[in-house]
Amino acid sequence: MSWIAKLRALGPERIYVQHSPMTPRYGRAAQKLRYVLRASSVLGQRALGEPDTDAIEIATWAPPQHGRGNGYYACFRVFMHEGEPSAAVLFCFYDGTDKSPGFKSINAATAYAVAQGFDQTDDYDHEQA
Amino acid sequence: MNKRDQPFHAAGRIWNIPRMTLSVLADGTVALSQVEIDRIHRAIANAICGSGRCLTTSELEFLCDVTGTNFSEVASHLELDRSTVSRWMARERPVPRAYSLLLKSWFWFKLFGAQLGDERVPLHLATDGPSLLDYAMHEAIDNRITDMVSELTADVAS
Repeated sequence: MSWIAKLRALGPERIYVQHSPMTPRYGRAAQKLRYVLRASSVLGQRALGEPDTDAIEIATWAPPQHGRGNGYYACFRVFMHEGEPSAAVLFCFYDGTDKSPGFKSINAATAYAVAQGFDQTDDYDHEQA
Repeated sequence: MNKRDQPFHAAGRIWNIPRMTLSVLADGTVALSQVEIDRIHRAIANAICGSGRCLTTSELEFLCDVTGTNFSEVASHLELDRSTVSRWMARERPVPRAYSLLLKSWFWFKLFGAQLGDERVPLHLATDGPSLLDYAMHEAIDNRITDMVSELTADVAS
């Protein structure tokens, strides 16, 4: 099962959006969360810096919902319990608004994710680009 | 963690949410669950549908996101070409009044019709779309199907 499928399987009780406090862009993240979970591809994953932390981070990208413009680049921190995801929080959301980076293609989003330290995973699928 | 009177960005505006449940995750991150987001979004959608204004493009996109509706379905419901809806979105002008009323009724019923669809309505409201939607908005709140939220201001940063 892919990471994005695992996130979907968590259900709405265990999927979160960071709130510290909310900004317009994170308002959009909340608004697009359902679409992001449905339409995203996983670009890569990275371990957290703390060796004792049972969590990983994944970067995802979904194409623009209405066919043009920037897609939705999102990062989730996935908390693990006994090897399985127990909860996930969206902590990064870029859609080109609010002076955030914008990515029109999965290749551009992937290049950015790799530059941020994410390693490409088996989930990665260029055919979806 | 329960908070009162929290600002929330949605549909191109900032809303005041009278009560909001925040979660503190294992790493200390403060976050909103998708369940809580859905609850707040339904309350905002109710307020948008019940308002007397024409829909803005941000509100139309929001209502589509909340109800899982795409623009092709919007165009089909209004018996318009998909390109007309695309043009509204590109120009970022309010949706024309007659179409706004039709869409607000449609979206409201998608969200609350299953719970309130059989409620009795004073007949004089049937000829006045905005009054009917205002009535429906308050019915949803009075019946505790959703919560009342208020608009603080328009977003400036999006």
